[in-house]
Amino acid sequence: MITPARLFDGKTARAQDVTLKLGGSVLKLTGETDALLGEWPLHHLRDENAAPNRNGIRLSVAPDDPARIEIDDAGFVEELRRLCPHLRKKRPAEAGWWKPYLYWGGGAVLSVVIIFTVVLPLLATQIAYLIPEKSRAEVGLQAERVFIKAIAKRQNVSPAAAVCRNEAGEQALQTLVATLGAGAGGDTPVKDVTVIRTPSANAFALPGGHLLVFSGLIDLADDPNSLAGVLAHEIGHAEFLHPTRLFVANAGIATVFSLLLGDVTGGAFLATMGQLTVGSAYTRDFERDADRAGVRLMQAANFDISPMIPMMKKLAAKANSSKSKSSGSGFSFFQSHPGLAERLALLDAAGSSGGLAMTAEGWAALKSICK
Amino acid sequence: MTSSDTGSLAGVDQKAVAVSTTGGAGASQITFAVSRKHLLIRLIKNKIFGILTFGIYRFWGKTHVRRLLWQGTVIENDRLEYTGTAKELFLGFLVAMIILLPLMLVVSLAVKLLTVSGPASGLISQVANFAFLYMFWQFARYRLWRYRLSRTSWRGIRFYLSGSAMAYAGQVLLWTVLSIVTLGWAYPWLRAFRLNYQLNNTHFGDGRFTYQGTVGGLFRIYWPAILIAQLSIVAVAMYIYQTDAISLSFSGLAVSKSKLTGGDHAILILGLGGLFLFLMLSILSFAVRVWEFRYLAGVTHFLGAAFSSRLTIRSVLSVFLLLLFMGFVAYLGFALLVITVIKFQTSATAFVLVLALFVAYLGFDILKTLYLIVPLVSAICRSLHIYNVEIFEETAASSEKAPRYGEGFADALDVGAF
Repeated sequence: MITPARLFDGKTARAQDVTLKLGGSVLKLTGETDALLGEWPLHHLRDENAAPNRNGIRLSVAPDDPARIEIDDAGFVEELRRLCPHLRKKRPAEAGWWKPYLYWGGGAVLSVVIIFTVVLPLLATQIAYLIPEKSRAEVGLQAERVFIKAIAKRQNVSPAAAVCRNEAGEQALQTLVATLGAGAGGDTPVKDVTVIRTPSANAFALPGGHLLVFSGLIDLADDPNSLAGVLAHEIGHAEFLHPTRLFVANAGIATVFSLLLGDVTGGAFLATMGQLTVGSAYTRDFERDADRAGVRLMQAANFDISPMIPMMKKLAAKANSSKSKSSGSGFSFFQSHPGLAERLALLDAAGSSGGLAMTAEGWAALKSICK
Repeated sequence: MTSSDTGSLAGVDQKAVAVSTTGGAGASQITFAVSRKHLLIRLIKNKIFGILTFGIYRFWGKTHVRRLLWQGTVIENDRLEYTGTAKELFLGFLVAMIILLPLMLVVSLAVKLLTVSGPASGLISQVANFAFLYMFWQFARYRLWRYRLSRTSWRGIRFYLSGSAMAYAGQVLLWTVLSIVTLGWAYPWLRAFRLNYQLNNTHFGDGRFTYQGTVGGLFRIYWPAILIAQLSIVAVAMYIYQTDAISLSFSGLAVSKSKLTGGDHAILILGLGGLFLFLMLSILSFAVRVWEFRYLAGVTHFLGAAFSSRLTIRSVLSVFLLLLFMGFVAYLGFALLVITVIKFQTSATAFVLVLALFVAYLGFDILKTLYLIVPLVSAICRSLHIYNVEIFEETAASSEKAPRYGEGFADALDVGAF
């Protein structure tokens, strides 16, 4: 079978008129002077059109050869398609095609892993300490305002009404927090502590040493030491600047995910999911540190920590029955924490030496702070 | 043509002008036609596989779309061919990640540190961060063109882009800053630099394109638009100031929610003022781009070949109107979503709505390619004429090396539409 066609040899942009001849296992190309221009093996031929083109075919012979033959003859094209069933298949991959994927892919994965496990936590810690104390307090204060507003809105009261103001109760709480904070070495990490009227039992440490205690937690506590244990844990967060570190790390995580996902549709959603996953991995580590710090602070103040055990069990039961939500920059007492068994074991090991965390009057005043 | 334009190619210019005035005899056309059905199927496949693979499929998807679009472009009976592979895009992405991740991480954390450290250092760091990102974006865009051109071939010969992406990005940043400082009057210089650098660095085989436009030529196109834009901004600002709408609208937001008060009226004024400015600026920027394209086509040459474009605003008006319409629908849809989420604060409704928004977004993306990009490219191609297209046949393949991997930076930074 013979047909005229146009050859682009890949060396110049000028089309050459050629005659194609099917001969055995090759396609013979002859020029105007009947000179043989080339023989293209049939099993190497591929159609370079993006979609099957009914009217014609654009042949190539090798992956890195820019030469093309354009054929318009429908009969010839049909015959060629019959002889070469693989015209629209991919060329077999050359040996070692996977190597660049492995090297660069491995490098990229390694770089992400190192960034998340080593670089980002380290940088976040350094930066958290570099941020002036005043700025940290400012960030925390803003978070606190947002927090209180959200709770007040849920209960349909003004933000001011959501905060419990009772001088004797506040005094008692501040004394307790100051005593516990004194064990942290240096300045007390807690700047202020606010009690909020809401039934859920929780406490939060926000950036800049702002502590939030929900009245539900005070109601749930049977004795001062169980409450003090929870507060000591939160003071531990404040001592290590965990809230500020998480605040900084979140910005880094967001940057990494937005780069990884590029212009993927729905990338923002995937980035948020990724951020939550990585963020909660960080908080789990922070929680372990805070648990240990809590035990240390309680012992330094010579308070008995063993009442924490029944409190912890009660909180766990409560957390399972109701889903308590919290903001991203705060540390809730029951959120992405290590397993309950692990935490109880730590408390068991701490023993039951030490005295009461508060006087009877102080405890009574604190219990009625929101009444 | 101003006198400064006439250089060594003056003879060719005259020839091109002569040809175009005698009714386009000997002019070659470019046509762009793709099967919407093929493209739609491909785009839907891309979205589905993209979601299933958390976005990794995008490199394969993009390559398929480009092959379709490139093949749809016919110059003198010969189709363009896209020779890039998904592998190159994917590896380009991986390489960019290794370089970009630590860089961007440090930058973003430094900005965070400075932002919380105080308002002054925060402002400076934000501006510096913006300048850095803007420059990097330009850099990525230049590299993207370089890759795409190097993977575009016609008659077996490929294009390529020379020049330094870094130098380009630096100068664009400089001219952008000047444009901001001069309230827009330096903008023609920015455009002139971009066109000059980009077109004069564009090659086909061993031949180079030459752009002979002048700042004066661009200034003639842009000055009325700049003036009108400035006047409209001033007019709207004065009107808002006179009616004291800003303070009234704040008090309106704070006080009443039931009756139509002076505050509501003020919010209406602000809204209408914003809408007027938005429409005005969209129409102006759309019109000047059309005129600019006609201008640049007329002053661009390839060896002895010349170009001209008869692109009219009317021929792309439907695209522009559709773009506006889609923008409004998106805006309304988003507003509706926000209102609904605020009203029904349950996670179930929020989830359903976010899902609906996601599906709508996917649909928008597909519609954008089918009914905005395709008709626009088609109109631009139809408007173009090439004179002395035979010159292209003299071109030989270039020995210039093409980039090995492609577009990683641009992909990570979200540059480029398809």
